[in-house]
Amino acid sequence: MTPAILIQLAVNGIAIGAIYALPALGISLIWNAAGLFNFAQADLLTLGAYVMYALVVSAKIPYIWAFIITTIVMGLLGYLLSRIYFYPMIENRVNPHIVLIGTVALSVFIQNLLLVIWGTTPKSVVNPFGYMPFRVGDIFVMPHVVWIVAIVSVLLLLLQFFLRRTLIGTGMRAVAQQQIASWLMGIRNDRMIALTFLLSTAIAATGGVLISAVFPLTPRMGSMIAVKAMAAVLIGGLGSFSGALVGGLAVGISETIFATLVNPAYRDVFIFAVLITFLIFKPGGIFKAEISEKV
Amino acid sequence: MWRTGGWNVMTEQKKRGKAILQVQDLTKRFGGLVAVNNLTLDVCEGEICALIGPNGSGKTTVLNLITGIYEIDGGSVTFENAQIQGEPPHSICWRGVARTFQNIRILGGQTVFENALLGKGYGNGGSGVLQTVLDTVKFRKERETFTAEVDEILEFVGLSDLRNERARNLPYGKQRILEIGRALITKPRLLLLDEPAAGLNSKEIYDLMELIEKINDRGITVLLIEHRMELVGKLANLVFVLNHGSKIAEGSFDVIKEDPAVIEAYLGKGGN
Amino acid sequence: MAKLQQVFKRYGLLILGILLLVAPLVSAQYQFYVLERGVQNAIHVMGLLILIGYSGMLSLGSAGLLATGAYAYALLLLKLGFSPWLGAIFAVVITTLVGLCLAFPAFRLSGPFLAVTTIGFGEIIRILILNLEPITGGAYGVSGYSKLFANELHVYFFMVVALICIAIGTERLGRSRIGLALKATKEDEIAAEVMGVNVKRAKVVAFALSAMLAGLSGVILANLAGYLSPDSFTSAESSSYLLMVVMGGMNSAIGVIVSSIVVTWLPEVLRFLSSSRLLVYSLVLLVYLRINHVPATRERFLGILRKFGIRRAADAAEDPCGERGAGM
Ligand SMILES: Nc1ncnc2c1ncn2[C@@H]1O[C@H](COP(=O)(O)OP(=O)(O)O)[C@@H](O)[C@H]1O
Ligand SMILES: [Mg+2]
Repeated sequence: MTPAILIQLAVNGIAIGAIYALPALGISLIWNAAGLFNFAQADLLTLGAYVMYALVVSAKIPYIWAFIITTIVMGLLGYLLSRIYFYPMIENRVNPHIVLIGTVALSVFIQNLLLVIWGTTPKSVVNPFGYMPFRVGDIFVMPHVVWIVAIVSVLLLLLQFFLRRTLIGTGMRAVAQQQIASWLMGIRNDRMIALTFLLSTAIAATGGVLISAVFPLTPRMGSMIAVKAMAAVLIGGLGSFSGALVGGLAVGISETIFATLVNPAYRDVFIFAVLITFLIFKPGGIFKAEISEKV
Repeated sequence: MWRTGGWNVMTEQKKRGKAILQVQDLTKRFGGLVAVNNLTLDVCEGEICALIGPNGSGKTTVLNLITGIYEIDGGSVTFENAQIQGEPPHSICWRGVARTFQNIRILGGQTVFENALLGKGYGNGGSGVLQTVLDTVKFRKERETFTAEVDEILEFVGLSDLRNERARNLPYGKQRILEIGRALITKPRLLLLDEPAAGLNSKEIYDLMELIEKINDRGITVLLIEHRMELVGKLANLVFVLNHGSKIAEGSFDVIKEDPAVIEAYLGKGGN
Repeated sequence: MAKLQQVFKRYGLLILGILLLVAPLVSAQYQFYVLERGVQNAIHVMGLLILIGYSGMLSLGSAGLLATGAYAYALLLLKLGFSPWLGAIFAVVITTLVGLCLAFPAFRLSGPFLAVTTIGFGEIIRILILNLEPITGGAYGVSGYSKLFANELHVYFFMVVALICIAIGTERLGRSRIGLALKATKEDEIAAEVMGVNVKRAKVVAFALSAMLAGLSGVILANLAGYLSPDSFTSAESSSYLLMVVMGGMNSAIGVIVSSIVVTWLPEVLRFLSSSRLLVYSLVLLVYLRINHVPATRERFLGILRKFGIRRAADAAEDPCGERGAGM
């Protein structure tokens, strides 16, 4: 094994890692805003991928338009999910365990909805990025890797700008930090939380579009991605923006290396083992200080 | 004028009995904030002591350190001659230290009786899972004694008629009393009360005062955190004053309330 | 009427048990199999009642424990030549021990963190079964092991008697101080600790009991099916168990039995559902949670029920065991 091989594997892993980072980021955003861990985030990603499939392959809409429509539709879906489902529960101070079960149910619901509509046969969307790898030294880089990394980077920069520099973004962060205080200041928690859902779901859908370019789609894909996204978010630190990104890349790269060099059959076992180790020994993740409950 | 220390405390010390709780150089930091700073205090058997101080002075943190909820950064806590720091909260409870919380922590969905029964704990002997599931003779006997004890305490604190009510349906004042009752079920020898009068009306405060005296008459030592000075003045044999985590005064209430350092601590904070 | 209710409250489990025991006399062969599966699920879900309902530890890996019980039984018999009963006992013990491992993460983790850990745990078990082909048969599964009873009816009677005993025990546990300690762990760990509840021990007990019941249920599943494959133990399957425990009210053994059997039966009654069973389950769960836990919606829903004359059901639902809000 040469360093070149390792670098090659890392490059391959970066693309998928960047995709994992998107639902991971969504989980973190929602956690901050609503104190709710959304188990369905990866399934929203899969749903986005299937919407893309329907638009591009079935409805034959041009790729870019399909991309935009998918993101918007999914964003609206996220908004609605919050308005009609999750926010009323949060507002009524339903036991967090119950809301958690709700997100698990949502995840299973989406998976099976996809199954009923599109069946188990894997579905492929065209790869718009082409198949011609280019060479950097001994390393081959597939065009989709570059594109995915670029798109995710731009997306994250935009998001960062939105959250830090715009009024709505500031409002969302205020709600995330202090729900009651922000409410007193006249910020509408329900809208801000719904907006967070909108953003998170749109981001997940973007991930879905990107993944549809690389992998064939299956309804249960969400489970697999959920594991990676949750691993990313918990390793990086729940609630942390950079944590989601770093966690996603770490998971993507390490699983690619493990699968190639050790055993692809145990790839998920490996990720789970790392995840559980982190949860037990460093429950706050990399980017988050451990905070103790104030009694 | 009469700062603590010296002669004043010496004579008081002579009159006091055997120490039941000794806190030595207790320190707790939260990041850069020193919430409790080298605190030393003794509570003796049979006393009612009060711990007062402005908001954020670290009173609740002291209770959390004594009861093992927070880890101690320095110093020691001795209860009945045994060092208890580092022990988990439940075993400190089994040793005979019970407490209530500043923000009531009862089980809203459970009945008053069940809330009180919780004070019987779990893991400290008695019937285990197998005996419970099989409903053995030993388990039934135990259940009868438990029920009797709980009913006795509910009678004692005056909650008998609300026995089967869900705790969340109780008025606020009764919930506070229930929390005290639950603490009594653990058969404590030292009871720590964190602002028991907060949010009570004057009638309820009067009842509470009587209850605390009655509890003390049962031979239970009480350490009380309180803001209501009339309560402290009436009940406490000895008062400790905390500011910014450090003890700034110690003595009887009458002495304390004239203490310039204490007055300044309260006024400086804009308190009463 | 009120008296009848009281009788049912007191002897409900016994009545239910007798009903289940005579059920095979009146049901057709296929319905009988569904009933068997319902009872077998109920045993498993009773464990989830203790773990999720009483103690509030959301476990999504229970399918993994079910698999452990079932495979341990089959493999002990096939590979090590155990007799069926000895194999069954050892399988339950093994599952309990495996489940105990989960209690340790639970010392430090709760809520979503614990749930993720349990998913991981369940998936690891499934992937191991899938990949350790020489031992487990991999995707082909295992079959050909002998069973506890030659007569299928006897398996059923054994199951029902076991279920009723377990339900009685679970109810007793729920009312005792141990049950209270578990419920306190769910609602407020710190208050529980301070009241002298050894929370770690309570968690160990909850995990051990639920794993034991999952193991038992797995052994029975192996006996009912005669064939095991990893497909029956996916984590998505855990959501149907979740539905059973949530719909059962999360606080009562009778509720668990009824909802387990009804949920198992549902796709058989509504045939068109059978291919999309989990779709309907999850939808029902979503809607139920939303209606039941948001007071405004709940009132409106009960109002509709009343309007259509389903008064009694609505009133009964008004405060199921008074657990509203605290439910879970
Ligand atoms: N768990 C915690 N994490 C961080 N800071 C804490 C924690 N608990 C208490 N503090 C801080 O310690 C100080 C003392 O708090 P506390 O003991 O509650 O004061 P008091 O009860 O006297 O009002 C406060 O500044 C508070 O913010
Ligand atoms: Mg305080």
